[in-house]
Amino acid sequence: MPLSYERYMNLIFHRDSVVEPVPQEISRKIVSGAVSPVVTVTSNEVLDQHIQECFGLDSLYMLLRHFGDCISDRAQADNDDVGATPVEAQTTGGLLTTPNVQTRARSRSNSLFQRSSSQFMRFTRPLTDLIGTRESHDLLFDYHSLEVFLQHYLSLIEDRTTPSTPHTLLQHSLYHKFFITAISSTTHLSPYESFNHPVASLLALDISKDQDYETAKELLVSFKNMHNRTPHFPSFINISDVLPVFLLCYEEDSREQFEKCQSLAKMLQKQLFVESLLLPLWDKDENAAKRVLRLPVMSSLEESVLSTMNEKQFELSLPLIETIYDRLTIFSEELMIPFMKRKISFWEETILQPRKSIFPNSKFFRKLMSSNPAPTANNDSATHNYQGLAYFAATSNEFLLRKLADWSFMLSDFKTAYSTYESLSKDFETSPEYLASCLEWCALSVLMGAQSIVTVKMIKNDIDPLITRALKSYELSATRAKERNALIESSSRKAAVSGAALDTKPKNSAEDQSVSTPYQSAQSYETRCMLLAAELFLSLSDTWTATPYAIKYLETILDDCTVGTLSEVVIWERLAQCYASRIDPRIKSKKTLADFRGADDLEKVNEGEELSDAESDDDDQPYNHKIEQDCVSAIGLTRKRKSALFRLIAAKKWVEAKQWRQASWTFKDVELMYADTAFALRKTSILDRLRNEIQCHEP
Amino acid sequence: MPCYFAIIGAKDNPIYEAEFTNPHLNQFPPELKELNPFILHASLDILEDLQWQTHPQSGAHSGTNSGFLRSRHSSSNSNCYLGKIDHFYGLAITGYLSYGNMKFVMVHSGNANNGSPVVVDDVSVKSFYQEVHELYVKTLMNPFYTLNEPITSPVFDGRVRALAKKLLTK
Amino acid sequence: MKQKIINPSTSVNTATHPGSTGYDYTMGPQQTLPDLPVSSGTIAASGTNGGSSTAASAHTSLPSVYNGSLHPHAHNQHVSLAAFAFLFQELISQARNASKSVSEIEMRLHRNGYHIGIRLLELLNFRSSVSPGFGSTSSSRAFFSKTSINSSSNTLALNNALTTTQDEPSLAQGISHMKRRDLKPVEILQFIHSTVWTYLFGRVSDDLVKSSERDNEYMLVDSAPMLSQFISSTNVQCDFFVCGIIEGILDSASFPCNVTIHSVPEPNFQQRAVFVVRFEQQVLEREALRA
Repeated sequence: MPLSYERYMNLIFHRDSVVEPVPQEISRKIVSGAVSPVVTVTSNEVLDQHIQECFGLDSLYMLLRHFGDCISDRAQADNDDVGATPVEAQTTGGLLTTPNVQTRARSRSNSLFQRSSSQFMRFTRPLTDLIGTRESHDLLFDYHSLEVFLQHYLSLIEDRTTPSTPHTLLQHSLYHKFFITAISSTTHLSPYESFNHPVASLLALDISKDQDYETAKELLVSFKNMHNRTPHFPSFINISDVLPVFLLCYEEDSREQFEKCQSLAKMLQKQLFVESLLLPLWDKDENAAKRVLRLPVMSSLEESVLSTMNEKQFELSLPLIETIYDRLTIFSEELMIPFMKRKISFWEETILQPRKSIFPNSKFFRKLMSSNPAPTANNDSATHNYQGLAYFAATSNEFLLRKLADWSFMLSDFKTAYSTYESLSKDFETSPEYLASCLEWCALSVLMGAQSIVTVKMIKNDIDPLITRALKSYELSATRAKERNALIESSSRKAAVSGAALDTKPKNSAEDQSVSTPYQSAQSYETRCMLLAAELFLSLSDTWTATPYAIKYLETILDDCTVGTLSEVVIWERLAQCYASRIDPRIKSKKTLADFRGADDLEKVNEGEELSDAESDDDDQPYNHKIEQDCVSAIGLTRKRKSALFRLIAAKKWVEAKQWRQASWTFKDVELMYADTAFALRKTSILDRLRNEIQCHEP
Repeated sequence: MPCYFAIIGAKDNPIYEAEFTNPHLNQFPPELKELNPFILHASLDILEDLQWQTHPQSGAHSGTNSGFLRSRHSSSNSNCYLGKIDHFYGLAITGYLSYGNMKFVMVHSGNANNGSPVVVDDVSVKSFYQEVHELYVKTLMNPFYTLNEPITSPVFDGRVRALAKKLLTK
Repeated sequence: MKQKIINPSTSVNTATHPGSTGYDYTMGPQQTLPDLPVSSGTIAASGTNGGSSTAASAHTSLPSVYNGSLHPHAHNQHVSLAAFAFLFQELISQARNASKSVSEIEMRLHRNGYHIGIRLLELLNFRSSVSPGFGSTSSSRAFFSKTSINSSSNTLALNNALTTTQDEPSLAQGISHMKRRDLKPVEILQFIHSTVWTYLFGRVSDDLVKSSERDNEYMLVDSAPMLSQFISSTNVQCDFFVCGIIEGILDSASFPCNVTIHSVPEPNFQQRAVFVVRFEQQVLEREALRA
């Protein structure tokens, strides 16, 4: 079976797969996973208490979040790393159930071969929690915590491997781990895009603890009224665009509870118009095989950092894991996706179609229209937050269209997404914050959707300019925010001078923070944009034309953006990878002399040198005066030497960062690449120095 | 500005290398010094790409914005001097090909003090390459010199350095 | 002493060259000015160019290949055919004595030519880049005459020419545009057909034809090969020497090929020779890729 998404992303826990090739289409899978629909999990105290008793997990969310990612992969049921669970497998009689797992594995669909990304899902805490912990500044990722995360992850790798472990795939996996962590942030709610806004919400009840219709109603009412009760509830989130679904947890063996659930579900449907999922969560079967829960691939940075520090492992019985996946599949296929599709077609009919028919490409009318809802002061469609930033409200046409595009993107309908982003970008010309993100995703939807038909011309004339414009808009928005902040600050100073010192003091500190952030915030968006674009450019089939763009963006990140040391090294490695894959498609099948020689037979090379030394003795080889030519036809159509240089630099940086395992792996590659070049083998060369340093730590 | 110059043979082997520096002001920082041969080696990929392009100016390596710089100076029908072929974090790399496809490559470093981008003076760099080319042809005329072997002659070394002083490290 | 003069690529005598020791492959690049020892502080103080200019002057006082000129008119353009015929005869008999078979003799001749071809490619192209009329006043004695080139590594006779001590202006100063490198098989063959043939034999070759049967085959026709005109009744193809030259030129210009010679006598030209150039397949592949 080819490597699944989860196995690849958590390769460090699946060491038996380290020699397999990099999965196809992995970058697109990751992007799909990173922007998959968000489901909030709202529980109640009784239920959480019960979960704590049974599973040792803090809450229902902590349990369910392990089931995110590609639910059709059933990754959690597949954790079979030999080193991790030998004891459990023996004590719980895992031998008996393994054949069962095998058959299931075969029938399981592999996400890497599916075009549809709708099988991806993310779980988060309840919306109220998210808003409560929402930071005043708008950072997509914090390079500092990213660095901490990488540090932990690298030491994890070091613990679980040896210097001789095959490292190629592990290093790919490491980059993609870095990539997905860098581009995603589950908790942050951006006002400019709706990827992190919840699509559905699970409201959970514990039937075994006699929770009934009243509790359900209470939950739903508080959910529906959330925007009135929560302080600082963001105006760009509309509760009625979130699908509530009840999750009824009952005891599997109890017929009585099951019937209770069914009747309750019916009642909820009739009276509250809300569907329910029945989940036999309380499972008393002690003998069933157990699986240790792995952190989902799509975890936010904070969660990842938290979990790397927390060594505790949780396990669930295999049947329960399968049941949860079954229910989630039903939830996704029968409730959430149809809901999204319904919403999309509704918005299409009510907003998109009228626009198209009234203003068919007329600049004049568009101007007339766009002059209206621009988020200037006292406009209906724009609202302001407490910092004075103008937002489009969740009910404004602009934001609904943005949501339409985003949701189409989530459902892999990149065509609709593209056209919607494109038409939206004309409306947003006056507000760079919105424009930037809009252009970015416009370009990304082309890259995601039109894989094989992306031509040089398209990249050069459409996609690349879009991204460049997006980056410029991000910068523009940053400078604007700076100006605005300066204005607010000066006015608040005046206020402070005029009196009310008590009132302005806390406010001031908050603003001090925000004054410094617009630049960082824009930069975090820019970094994400470039990482995404680079990765998707790399995934295109014509690597010769696409990789220069990937290289350009990655180099820009290294040059202009603030990233930590380890992240930098990871990007250097990736650059080497980019150059290595820059091969003219026409010569892919051709081999150079170096390839013929093979990677590992260095001795042969030495033999060849001896022969040429003996050249003066001309009786043996009368024809060896010919100049040796290395695959003339392919000359100049690869970038292997470039790749070697970047790997060398990466190796050097790993050494500087004292990451010896990574350094020795990378250095191994470097040595092979320079095996033929005599200048690199000089005693004074950097290679020699690095080798000695690495050998001190990694024998 | 310090320069690192090398003549590269058919098998990526340097047959001559030199650093043109000024001991008081202009020197490569040590971490760059040890990377120089590798940076130069890496740009051979692009040199080889340009080597077989009919109009090397127009088909300049994308990813650098130096394409237009080159087309200004080199005449349209000469393809020995390739101008700036590559760049690497503030370093500029120029290239030149002899008729026997010996690769003359040079890493130009900017002034380390102010970190300003390197400006390659195409006219003097080109004549430097041509003069060295002549010295190379003379070397080749020596029956005791074998193609692709290192040029160890001190006279050659001295002449090249004198040329560098005259044309490059002013 | 003689050894040092003629062998600049291998001999390094630090005693006679105090300033520079030349390029050392195992050491890598040296800086222009090695840090001078404290004792010679006066030189260091005299400025940055002190050290190297004294070194340079030390070099120029010695005769060296680098003092000669590459200019075509700097030397006698012509060499006696009779003299060359004797030399060629010696070349062949040496090859014959060292060989066990006919093909080995031909291989040795081929190799002799090959090294000449490598040099001719650079020299002739470089010369034709020089603007006409530049430096033609020079009157120094012959150095790179045809003899010395053709005899290549087989003779030490050219030592006698290494007596010029005066530096001439470099040819490179007279170059405004370097001649274009040849990128297509036809271009480089035309260079051989005209420039090379004129240089070697005083006329262009008689014909340059593309094979109608094979894509990668071209034929250079010489109705009266100059070198082998005094050679007859042998089954050794002495024109393999010329094959070597052609192959050397093409190989070092990165057009790897095989060159063979076929005698195709015609009524008027009994010795008519056809040089068949068969390029390697990758040359055509490169053509296709770069089209």
